[in-house]
Amino acid sequence: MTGLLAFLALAVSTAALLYLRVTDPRRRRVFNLPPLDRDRPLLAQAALWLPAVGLILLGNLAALVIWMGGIAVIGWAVAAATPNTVVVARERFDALRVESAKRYVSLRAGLRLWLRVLSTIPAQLREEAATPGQSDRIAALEARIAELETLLAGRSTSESDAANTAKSPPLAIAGSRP
Amino acid sequence: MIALDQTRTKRLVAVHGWSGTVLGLLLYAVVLTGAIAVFANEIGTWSKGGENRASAVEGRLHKPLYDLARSVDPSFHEEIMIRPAGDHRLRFSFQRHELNDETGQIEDYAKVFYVDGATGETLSTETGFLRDLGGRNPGDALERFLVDLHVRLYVPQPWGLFLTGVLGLAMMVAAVSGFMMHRHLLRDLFTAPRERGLLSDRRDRHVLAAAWGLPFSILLAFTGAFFSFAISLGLPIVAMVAFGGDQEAIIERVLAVPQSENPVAAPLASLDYIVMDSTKRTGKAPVLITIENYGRDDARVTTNHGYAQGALLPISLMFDGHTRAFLGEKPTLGTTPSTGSAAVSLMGPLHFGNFSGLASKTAWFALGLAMSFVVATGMQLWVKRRAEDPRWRQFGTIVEITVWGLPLALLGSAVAFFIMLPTGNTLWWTPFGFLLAAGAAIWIGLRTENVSGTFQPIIAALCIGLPVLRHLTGGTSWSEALLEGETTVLTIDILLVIAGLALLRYGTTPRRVAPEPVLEPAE
Repeated sequence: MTGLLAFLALAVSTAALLYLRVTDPRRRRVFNLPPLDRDRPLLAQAALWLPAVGLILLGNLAALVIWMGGIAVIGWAVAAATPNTVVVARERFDALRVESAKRYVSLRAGLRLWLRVLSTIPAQLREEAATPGQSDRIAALEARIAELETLLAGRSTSESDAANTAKSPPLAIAGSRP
Repeated sequence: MIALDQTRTKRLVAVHGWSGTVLGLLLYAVVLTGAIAVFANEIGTWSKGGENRASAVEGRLHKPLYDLARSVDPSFHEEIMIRPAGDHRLRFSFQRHELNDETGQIEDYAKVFYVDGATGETLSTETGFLRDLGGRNPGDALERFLVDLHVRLYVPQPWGLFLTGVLGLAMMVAAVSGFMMHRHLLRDLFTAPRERGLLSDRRDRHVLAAAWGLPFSILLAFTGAFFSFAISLGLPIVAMVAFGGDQEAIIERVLAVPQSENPVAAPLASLDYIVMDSTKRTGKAPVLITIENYGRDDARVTTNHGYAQGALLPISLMFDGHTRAFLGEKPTLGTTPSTGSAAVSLMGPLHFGNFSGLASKTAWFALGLAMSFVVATGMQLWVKRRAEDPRWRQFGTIVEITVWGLPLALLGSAVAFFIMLPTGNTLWWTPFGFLLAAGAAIWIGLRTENVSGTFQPIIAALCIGLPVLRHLTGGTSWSEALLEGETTVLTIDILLVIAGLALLRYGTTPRRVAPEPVLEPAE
């Protein structure tokens, strides 16, 4: 329970610390960042200290001391991150997000395709069920098409043979008179 | 925050710098080992491959106590202490006061029995002065070495305690002088170093870490110095002045609640009933039971229950040993609760960070690492400012070797411990492994230009290799640990591997230096 209370208190105070860091005027001057128009330092400082007040009111001194120690370390970590560090971290996060989005998109597209294919199967099955012998008819039509193609191929071969015979002179047979 | 003139500021800089630099290497060792020693119990459990460390006294106590008390001389009934000893064992310690010829002091001489908590069977015994007992278990060698290194830098008593006491004072001086020197402490709390590779960036890095950790630096330094000097200096001085050199007498006078003597023989009331009563009153089972004057009408039982949920002060209850009547809460010092007693009681939890289990220990560990960073960067800054002097450059090399060599040496002691654990010869080899690794670190450090770049992969490899070594030398495997619920073994193994991988990944990444803003010509 003590650990949980301390963790919750630290979470609230960390959020306040992050805001205070971003809005700190000296930090913004040092790193050549433009000054902010809107700034609510009092609200942020209240958010920073209120968890400690809450722990005191709850009478949990152990959680309060853990909060004090945690704030010292978290505050240092928050303050030590330069805007450059933040930029690098944000770039890495954005890259990760873009990569994940791409994979997510391709994954979604793949899933959609599969779903489309899968969704046509029941329709085909229904069609076949509605018109009995449909597949037999198709098979018969395919066989007829194959027959016609064979016939066509045979006709075109004989026509080309006849054309070749008309063009070339008769073959001289040994012993025969013209 | 405090406006000082230039002369005073320069003096403070000198005080701050010299106090930190002269003792900085040793201070760094004490602070870093202190951060690690926060988890000494857990490291001890991990090094033994998991040990069911009961946090409270369990099982039936009265029968084994009765049987053991009959087996020892009645002179050992002066004081009996019962505490858990891991793996469901109980430690019964029967003590009397005797003159130690080696030290010339009257000390506790004890007969100690390790008893199976379930069956009451005596598993092992040892006899001797209390200060010499307790550390002979080979499995405890790593834990004890880490603690001793922090408490007294492994220097023999009482000089080790003097040394760490002086270091604590030096740290307080550095912290207070640093606070006074820094004019804009609050305004600069969010000003991070600009990472341009300049000297001012090093200063900003040191100042930022020191500013955030200032209150705890003072607190930990003060409580640490208190513990060191109270035992090594305060106790002997007061004993010499007021008790004829008898330190045991002063301890009893200050820590024990006086009672009227009545040596008439009387049986002890049911200890199991007293434990049940105390558990009901506090909501927690006792972690330590002390029985004074066993077998007499003036017997007294004190149960120590550790820390209640959300509290910073430990709870101790007193019971009449013969009638089992509840006598009230026992203050740490004196006869009645007082501000002084509460202040002394606070020293322990505020220094050790063990008042709320893992949560408080994690916070204290992080604070210890932060303070190590402050000490290391302070020395680096001091040396960098004097880089033109070859002697300070050599000292700078020593600083770098110490900053990176100490973690390597600590890992080396763990390696030696695991290698020698199957032979049982860890008590000597663990500190020797530390010395060997330290020697290797010095040898490597003196032969390389880039100390941090050379040491980081070695430290990373040791971190990743330690769990493997632990397993190869007969330690508990992960599957066994999972089956037995030994989360400590798993957690420390995983944390070591993560630390090693993180050091490999980020430790050798060159720091990205922010580009300087390009000046544009005015239009």
